[in-house]
Amino acid sequence: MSPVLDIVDLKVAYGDTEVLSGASLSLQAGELLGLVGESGSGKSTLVQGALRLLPFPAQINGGQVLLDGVDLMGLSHAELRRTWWSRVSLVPQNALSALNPMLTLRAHFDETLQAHGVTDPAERRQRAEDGMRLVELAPNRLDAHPHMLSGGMRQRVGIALAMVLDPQVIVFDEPTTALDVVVERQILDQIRTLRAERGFGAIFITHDIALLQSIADRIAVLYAGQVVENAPVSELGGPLSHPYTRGLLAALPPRLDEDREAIPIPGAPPRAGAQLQGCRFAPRCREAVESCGVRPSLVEVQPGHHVACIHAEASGDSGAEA
Amino acid sequence: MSRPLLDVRGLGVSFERSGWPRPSYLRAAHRVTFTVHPGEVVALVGESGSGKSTIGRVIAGLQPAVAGSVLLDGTELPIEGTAGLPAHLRGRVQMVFQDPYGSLNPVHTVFHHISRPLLLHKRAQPDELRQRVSALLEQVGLGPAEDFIDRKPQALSGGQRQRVAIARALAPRPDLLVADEPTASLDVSVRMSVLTMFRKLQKRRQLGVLFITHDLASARWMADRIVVLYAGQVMEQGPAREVLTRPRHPYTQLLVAAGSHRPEPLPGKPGLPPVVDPPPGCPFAERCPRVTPGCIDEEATVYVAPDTSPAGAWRVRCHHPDSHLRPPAEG
Repeated sequence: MSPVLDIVDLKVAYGDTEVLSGASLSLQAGELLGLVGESGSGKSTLVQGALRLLPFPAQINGGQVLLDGVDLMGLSHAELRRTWWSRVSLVPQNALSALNPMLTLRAHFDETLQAHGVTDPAERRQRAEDGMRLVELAPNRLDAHPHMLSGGMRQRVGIALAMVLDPQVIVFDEPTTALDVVVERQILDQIRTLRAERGFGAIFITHDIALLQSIADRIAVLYAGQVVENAPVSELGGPLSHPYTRGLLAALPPRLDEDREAIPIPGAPPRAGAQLQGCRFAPRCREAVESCGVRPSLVEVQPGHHVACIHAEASGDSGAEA
Repeated sequence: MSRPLLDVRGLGVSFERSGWPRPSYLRAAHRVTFTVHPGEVVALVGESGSGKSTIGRVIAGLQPAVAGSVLLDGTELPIEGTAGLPAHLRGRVQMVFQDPYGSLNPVHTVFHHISRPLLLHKRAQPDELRQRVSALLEQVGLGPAEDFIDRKPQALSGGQRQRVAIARALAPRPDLLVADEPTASLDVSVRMSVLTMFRKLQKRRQLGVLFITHDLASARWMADRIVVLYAGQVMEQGPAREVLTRPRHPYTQLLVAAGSHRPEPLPGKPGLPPVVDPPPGCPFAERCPRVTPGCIDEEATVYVAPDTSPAGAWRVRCHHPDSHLRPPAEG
């Protein structure tokens, strides 16, 4: 099975500050991959860098990004413009700043469709209305401006726009972080339903690991610019999991139906670009040993479950994947 | 029963908003009644637009109210003006703000931030100032203090800044701390360590805390009692653990269901709190699965569960109380 999106050893720097030092991630068709990390871990940089959406001064210093076998790094700007929205699209965190306040919702749909060669106005109207219905918004709201909608409705419009050209991959960049818990839940239910209907692959970026456990098939954990774990959701937090992942889960306040103590992780994540030798989590890790001074590589501890930790290297099939 | 440290009775806050053809009226808080006892943590929870921050700001003297009263240890606070709390009360109520990037002054050192309230409220002599600031820093987990005391905010992480903000609020030795979403802007891995430290200090100092949050899980973890707000009204209040395990108000039930990440459908419709030109009846009526015509026209009364103690009484404001709830209580 070849992945629909395959990010291989991506390196991104802002000037002299390297924020991603070789991150790899792959997405199977129809899969929902959760990407979790704290602020500054590089989760948005990873995905936006891979889609070549990062503005100057960010620069890509290496790596390959295969979308259905085609390397995005080798595409011209014109080819990229044709790829964005039609084959891969992005739902941003804050739909208010992503939508143009001067334009109606209809104009947003029109612009996107027209740029991708839908010349017939009747067809554009039809597809915009279908898009609104898809996210359970009344088509007569198409003539509204963004400020007339609530935060949840704007986020739905963002999702409808991302889906209007039926891409294979949709990236959701913290789509619910700014929303209240009830609205968040409604948006998540919406994404679940749409995925069941349309079968697109999705990367869902968030700092909320508990949320991911309810929606993702697989979860990749990012720490200080490195993927430290990539596991099926059922195995996350188990005995083979990375110490950071286990710490993160234990540090969450107990859910309402749980009875346990929360155990904080000591210290704080390193600043972006901090020069660190070896495992970047080692200074905060309860299981750190002397050999953590050497940077661990991602090894497969079980089929489909990768961990970058010296303890996993000992138990797993060492060097299975760099 | 001991006298409450904070006694909020029938608090109302509203704003007039200019508009055409006539101005509209925004009601941020309406008939809000609750208490905080000495040494107790009370969580004020609600979604955006619920009025939780507004209520906190009124208590801290940062925002005028239009109705009701607030008593601190039996003394009525002047809440209707804009002058803030009088100097002798200011040290007794302190506030921790949500964003430690905005609440600390970038040009001043940690020492300056914490020494100011110590001097202003005459809690330290100038010659022992540095030692007192150091002691506070150690208490909030910033030790050894010498490593932090001369730094400026930009040299601190978010979690460290919030610890400084907490130390500053503790400096005048307040009886009541109003903490407005103190961990919402912190990383998940850091959030719990700040809350744990805060809870420990609170217990040791027997501090009363009004903990404002939208996160039910941290509310349950931090608080003894919980007050659930919707559109500026208290929908339900009672012992935190019980209310969140067996919520009685349909709105609390919706919040708990949404936060659980379980795949069942939500018990309630989407919608926004009606705070602008509010309807006469229950504000939750149009989203409520149990709605009847009476809900829309009339304000609901507050029922008390008979199985709770008077201090921690479980109160529900609903037209459809469970049959065992005792009918009308005051406020």
